[in-house]
Amino acid sequence: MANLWIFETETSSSIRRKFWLLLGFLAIIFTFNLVYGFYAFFRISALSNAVLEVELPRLEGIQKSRLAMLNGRFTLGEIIGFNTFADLSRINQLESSLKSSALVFDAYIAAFTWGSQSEAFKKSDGGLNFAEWKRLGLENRLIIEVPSEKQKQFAAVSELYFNGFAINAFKAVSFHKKFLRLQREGNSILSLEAQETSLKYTQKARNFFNLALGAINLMSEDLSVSASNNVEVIKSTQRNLFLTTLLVLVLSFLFAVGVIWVYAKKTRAIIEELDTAAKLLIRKDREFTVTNLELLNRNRELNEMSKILIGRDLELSRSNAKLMELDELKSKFVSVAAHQLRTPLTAIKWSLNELVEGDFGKLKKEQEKLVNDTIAANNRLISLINDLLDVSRLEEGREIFKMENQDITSVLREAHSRFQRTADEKGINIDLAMQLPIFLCVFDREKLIIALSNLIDNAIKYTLPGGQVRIELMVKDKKISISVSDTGIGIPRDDTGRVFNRFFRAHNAIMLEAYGSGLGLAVVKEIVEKHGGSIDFTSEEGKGSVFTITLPVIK
Amino acid sequence: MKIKKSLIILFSAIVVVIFVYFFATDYRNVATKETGGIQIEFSKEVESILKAKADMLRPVLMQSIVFEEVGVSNQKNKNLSIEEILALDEKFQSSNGNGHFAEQFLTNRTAKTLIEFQEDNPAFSEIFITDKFGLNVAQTNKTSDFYQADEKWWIDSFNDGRGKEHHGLIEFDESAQAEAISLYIPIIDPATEEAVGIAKAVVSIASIKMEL
Repeated sequence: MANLWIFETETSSSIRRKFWLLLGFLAIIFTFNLVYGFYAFFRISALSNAVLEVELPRLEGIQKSRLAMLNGRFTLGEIIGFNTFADLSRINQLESSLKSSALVFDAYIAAFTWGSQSEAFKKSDGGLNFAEWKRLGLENRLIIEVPSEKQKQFAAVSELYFNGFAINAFKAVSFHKKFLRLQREGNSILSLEAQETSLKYTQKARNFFNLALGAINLMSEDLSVSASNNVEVIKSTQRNLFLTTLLVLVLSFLFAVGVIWVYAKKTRAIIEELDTAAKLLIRKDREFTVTNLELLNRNRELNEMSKILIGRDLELSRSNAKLMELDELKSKFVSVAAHQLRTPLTAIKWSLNELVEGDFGKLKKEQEKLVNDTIAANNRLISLINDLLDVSRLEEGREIFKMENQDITSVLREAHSRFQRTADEKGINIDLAMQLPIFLCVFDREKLIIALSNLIDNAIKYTLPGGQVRIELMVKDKKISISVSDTGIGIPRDDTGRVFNRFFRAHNAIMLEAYGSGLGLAVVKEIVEKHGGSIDFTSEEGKGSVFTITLPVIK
Repeated sequence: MKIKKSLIILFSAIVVVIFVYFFATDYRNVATKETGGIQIEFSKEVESILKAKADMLRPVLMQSIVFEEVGVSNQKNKNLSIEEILALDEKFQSSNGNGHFAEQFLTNRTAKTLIEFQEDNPAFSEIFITDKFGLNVAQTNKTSDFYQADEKWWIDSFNDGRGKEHHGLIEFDESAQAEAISLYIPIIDPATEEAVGIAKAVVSIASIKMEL
């Protein structure tokens, strides 16, 4: 669960980082779009204003001017078309219309071209046109924005040419009226001259009309191009604004989808982890339940076994107590028996010795041999009883160890010298080898001599004449090592495990020496262990044995 | 994570490029709107009237007094630095009243000749002459500037000393308070065939209309 929590924390942090990153990105895009939106808004507003408030009214003014021009042109044509003096009143009316056309033209051109009322007023023949503006209701429709230099030139040139048209048109009308008057008076020559002059001015007026029309068409075209350019820019800006907005919307959508996807992915991962963890917990729970049941069963079995063991333990305790009691009884019996036996055996020994020594008269040879055999048997019994008493005392702990700091080499020398004679009698060479001439340590002299004597006695006993017994002392690593080796019969492999058991004797030993208690090595082991040491041996049947006592150096 | 960051940066860059493209497109549309110069030619009637006006003025400009005073001015101004010229221009613009710096150009003999011509020909609302450095020599009215060589009409007319006669478009003449067309006539030294001065004459549209 701890791992899961860490995972969840890291995932949340990661998602938050990504979310802010994407949000920042989106904010940049939105800012751009906002800036572009403001730009586009003001751009479109300015251009729309230019088109609606300036260019279209100017085109309207141009159109009105063109209509006035055309009206003047047709009026002139109509006037020139009259051929009788009776039409004079009509001609006069049309002449007024012609003047009006010129004024209307000037008014529109000035009003929509020059930029300000005062400028227009100054540049369009002063107050002459002002009344016309008022008549046409143009005084409040003057365009404030100053036109381009190109527009100014087109306007000025068209005005110049249309003035040329108007001046020549009026001259033509004047001569045409003169022609009609002279024609009525019958002055054919002069009337023809007047007619020719009228036609000449008419032609001139038509030329200027065409020039003026050309100039005003160019002006109109220029304005149309300008307006269409502006409209194109408006459309382009609108399109761009639409595209950028669409882009932002698409990106926003992608952003939203991205965020949802990331959240969904991470959430799914968390849910899967939780699901896995839950399944694991359920499985573990089942396992625990099963294990628990097993444990309960085991516990029950253990309880049963425990009861049985307690019963057995009680039985064993009872048996042990009985055995201890029996052992104690045995030891007491052995002790009592030994004590009770040793006294009469000692008495027998003394009596037999007196007999052999002739205190009661000289014995015959047969009698003497019999008594000597009896003495030897009695000695073996006494020796056996002594061994039994030693073992008994050691087991019961009644033996008191006199631990004193003394020279251990003297013990070895004493033991060696004690068995020197026996070994010599049997033809066995006994050696003593010591690393040090003297070595002081704490031990019980008497007990150690008993132990060593048992080992040396065994070595001599089970070594055939001509053999070798060696006693060796070594001190190393705060340990005293005393070994007794021989070249005797050795111990059979099968008997090595029981060598230190009481009353045990190896079968080859029994065959060689019928008499023996089997207690010597048990006594040695007890003594060595009471000194805090140990005894070990190596042996090979038929080649010999080495028994080694290891004692701690206590100062 | 690094790849994701790089992708976002790349994506942002693309978006920025798109926006810059849109800005640039709009700007280009606006910039290209004002294309094309003014190519207006007057009708032959107007051109002939202007030529006639120039023909009327040319004899005046060929008078010896004009050459004399233009020559003196050229001699006097030939070593002027641009700083000195600008100082004179400032002095001219700020001068007014009798005895001022500009008065000499209104009262010298050439100026008197021009004024007399103007009185006889009211179609000329203003006439003035510069030397070959663009500095005023004589004038019928006080001009706004003393130094004319920084104006396109003067440069075109001087034509690197070779001289070129031409006229301007219709413009509003502030001194005459009327629409007018300017004539630019170089004063050519017959001996060297080099322009020693430039004359500018403003012809009112009203007078031209009268002759149409």
